[in-house]
Amino acid sequence: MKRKSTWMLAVALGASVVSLVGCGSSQSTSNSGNNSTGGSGSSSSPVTITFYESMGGDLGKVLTSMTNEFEKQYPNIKVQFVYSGSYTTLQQKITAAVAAGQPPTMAQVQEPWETEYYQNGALVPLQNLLPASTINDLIPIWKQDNSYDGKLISAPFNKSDYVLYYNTTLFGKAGIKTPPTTWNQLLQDAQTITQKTGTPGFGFQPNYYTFDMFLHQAGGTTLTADEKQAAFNNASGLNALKFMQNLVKSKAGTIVSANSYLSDGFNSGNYAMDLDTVAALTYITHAKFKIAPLPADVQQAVPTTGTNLVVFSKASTDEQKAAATYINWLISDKNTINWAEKTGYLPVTESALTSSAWKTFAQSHPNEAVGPSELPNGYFDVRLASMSSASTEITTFIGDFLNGQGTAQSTLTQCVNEVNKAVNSSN
Amino acid sequence: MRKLVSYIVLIILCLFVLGPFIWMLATSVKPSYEIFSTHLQLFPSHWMFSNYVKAWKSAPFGRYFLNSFIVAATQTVFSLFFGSLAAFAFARFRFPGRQLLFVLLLITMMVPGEILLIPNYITIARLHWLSTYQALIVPWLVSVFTIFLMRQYFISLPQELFEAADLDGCSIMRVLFRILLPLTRPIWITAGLISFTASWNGFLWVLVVTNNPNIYTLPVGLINFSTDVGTAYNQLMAATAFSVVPLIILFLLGQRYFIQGIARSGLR
Amino acid sequence: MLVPTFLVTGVFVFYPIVNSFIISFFNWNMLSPVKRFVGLQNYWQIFHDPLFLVALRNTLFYAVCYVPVVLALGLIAALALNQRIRGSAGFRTILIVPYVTSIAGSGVIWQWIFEPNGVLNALLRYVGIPPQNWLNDPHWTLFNIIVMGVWQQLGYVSIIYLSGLQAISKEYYEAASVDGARSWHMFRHITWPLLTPSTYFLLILTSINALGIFLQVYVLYGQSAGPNNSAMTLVYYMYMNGFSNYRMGYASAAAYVFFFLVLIITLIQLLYSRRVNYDS
Repeated sequence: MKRKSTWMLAVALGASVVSLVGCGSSQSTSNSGNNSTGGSGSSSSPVTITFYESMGGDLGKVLTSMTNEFEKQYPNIKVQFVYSGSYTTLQQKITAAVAAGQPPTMAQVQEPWETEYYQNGALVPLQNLLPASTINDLIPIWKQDNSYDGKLISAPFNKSDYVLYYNTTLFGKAGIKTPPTTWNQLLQDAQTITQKTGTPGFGFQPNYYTFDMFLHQAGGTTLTADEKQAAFNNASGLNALKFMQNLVKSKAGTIVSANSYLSDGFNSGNYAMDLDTVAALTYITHAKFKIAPLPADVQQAVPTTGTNLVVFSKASTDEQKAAATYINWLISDKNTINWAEKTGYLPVTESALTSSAWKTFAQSHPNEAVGPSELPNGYFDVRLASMSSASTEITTFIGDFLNGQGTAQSTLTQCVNEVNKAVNSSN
Repeated sequence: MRKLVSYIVLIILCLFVLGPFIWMLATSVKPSYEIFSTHLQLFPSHWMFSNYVKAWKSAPFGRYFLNSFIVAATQTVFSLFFGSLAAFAFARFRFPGRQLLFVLLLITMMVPGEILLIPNYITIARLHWLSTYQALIVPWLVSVFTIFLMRQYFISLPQELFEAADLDGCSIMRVLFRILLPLTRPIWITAGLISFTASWNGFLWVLVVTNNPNIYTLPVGLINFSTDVGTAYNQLMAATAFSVVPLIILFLLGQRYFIQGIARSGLR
Repeated sequence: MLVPTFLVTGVFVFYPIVNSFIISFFNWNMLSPVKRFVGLQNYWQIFHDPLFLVALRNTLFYAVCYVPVVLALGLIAALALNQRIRGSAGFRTILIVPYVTSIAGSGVIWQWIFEPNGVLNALLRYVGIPPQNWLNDPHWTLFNIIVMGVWQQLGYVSIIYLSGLQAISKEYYEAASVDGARSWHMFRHITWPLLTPSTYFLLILTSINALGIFLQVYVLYGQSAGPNNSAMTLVYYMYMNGFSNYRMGYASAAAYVFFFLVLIITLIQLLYSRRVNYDS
């Protein structure tokens, strides 16, 4: 009896081993970026670079077709896309790869992750790889966003900023001719629209990002210059909170769940105005709308978002150079304009913005022209990974406040404490 | 009377269960701006079956289906095989440390996958198995669920069954395959279906260990519809709907094997 | 016979578990090979973090409420399915649909259902009940997650109960009805005792699943853990610290605390199940 069972066991194990080996040999085409045998000086030998990215759906199609053109121009460089889902799953994938010592050649990253990768020496500063002309040509806000300690570490790729979307049909019904340019006007216009059309005038999400935007417009900043403490325990912070409260109390503003996209409700005509990223433009397919600059309070402040491209230091020299070539190509004038036109993201270089190609496009596309015009007033979010859990908490506090719990000051204090805790947590 | 009550109960439960699914199907044929309108309606103003075509074409779903099938089928077969061996061992033999080993296995179900993610990824990377079928299959060759389920039923079978087999001079394998498995068919068919489903819907692991779109399985295809600024919900619903179809077919087929009134006839 | 099982689990489960345990004594951000030894500091911090206690409370509360509900409904469904009624195959298939639908799709649907302008409130309006703020009112959070969980697992529980029911020989019932027993007696003295293996199996499994709840919450509440952190669960806490804050050591420590909790609960259930004898 025993012999037979061990025999069967052996067969089972054997079968599994055979099938595993069989499976292994059929998958030979894919490989991570680290397959080249360490820098063979010749630049004409074919190089494959791996690119972890999150450009799904139509965005992916545009990127793929652009990259095909790139590969035609540079036949010895092959770009292997690794689509990695949402930014969340992209981050998990990159982190796992870095932890295993096998990062891709390049990836799209958000700034908080980039800070971590940079501080751990995982990145090659693009300062060393890109031509000076390109670096100096970057729009100042993007250059700042991509630099750490005075050096350019990454390159801006799909960047956007926030604009005011307004529904022209509803504006017409309410008799409003021009979009609001200040907070007061926004509040009034929204109230008028709500009263005259029955549709809420303004939709917003009661989250950290909205608060941060209003905070900046009220003249404040999130952190102190040394990034060690919250800096908004002041009138700016209070005003930002109170503004949000007024919007809700006056019924001018309607709260949109943090899980949804503002653009969806806007597109369905659920509210007449919202402050949203330019990248959402292609999703507004149904509502008749126009775009205007963000309303200001004490000052104009325009949030910027999107991802940057980084190159990992574990990649071989050839791969790094190839990646740099690709990145340089992607952000060259013609291509950054092409990308912007097709996706709604913004061009990233000064010369692109001042070129006649863009100017022509802007004239026939007034909506798309607004985003870039606001960039001189742009700011970017705190680039610390620890802020992400703080932002989640703050969103909760704000939600409660707008629901009627607590006062503006007590809410503000809670938020401040949360931020201080987050930026000081040891790692 | 009992039947009437049963009908009522089932209809209520099915309405609860189907409700969201019907909404999903309705969404899949709507134009996008109707999905979020404040005036909710079940039926779209015009039926966009083209969403299904669009969804199918947006990624190589045919390939994803094939991959999902290969991975899920292999995993299911192996986990049933290994599982029945293990369950039999736990149920039939009294060996020292039996309880401890069983508890150890249970422990594996208690650890959240998120914690296992990075160490397992590192293991796979070291084995040079990234972007291979084995990376998708091997970690899941064993299903503790299957072992647990089958052990429960093996235990509840009468000792006389085993003793009769012993008297007949059957080897362990014979007992297992010729006698036990046919007797407990509903159990392992259930276990198989559940393993297959878990494998079919597994997402995060596939995404993390795969760099090659040729190996992607269906759930990874589903994330294609979301970007950080917007999601093509109607296409996502369409794709979710057609991803579910094979599983439903499998369940329909598997149910023919739920035979009533088994287990005892072998003794008489 | 157990070799293949333990080989696979050894490599892919036990090794990471041990690895994780070791890491819990360090601070590691996963990006650099540097790990700073901190001894029990992570564990100490966990027990002093109010958010962890919130997560603990929420998770336990959810498990205690959810498990009996899903088991009871699953049993009822299985009993109904076990009657010889026409179309039972159809019913069975319908019940299993949520279980086989991937959470990416179903999560989105439930968001819409619970939205203030969503399906549930629309239905309530028809019946004259005022709309509720399901997603933004912390009092409803538990309810939302339980409903979603039951919807998803009902079919799975009932299928297992069904296979257990069908493993009960008809002869028992025939003998009992010859003796003049009525259905409630038959249930109490035949069905329920003979179902104990299924019940314990499901109890353990659904408890473990309930304690480890994360994906549903993540998908339903998106980037936050519910209003007032009412949906913060132990695994969410782990995930947040590990992946969002890059504190893998801390997250591993939280994982161990979670793991011991689940282990203790499961062991209690196991011990209790052995004291119940089921006749065969």
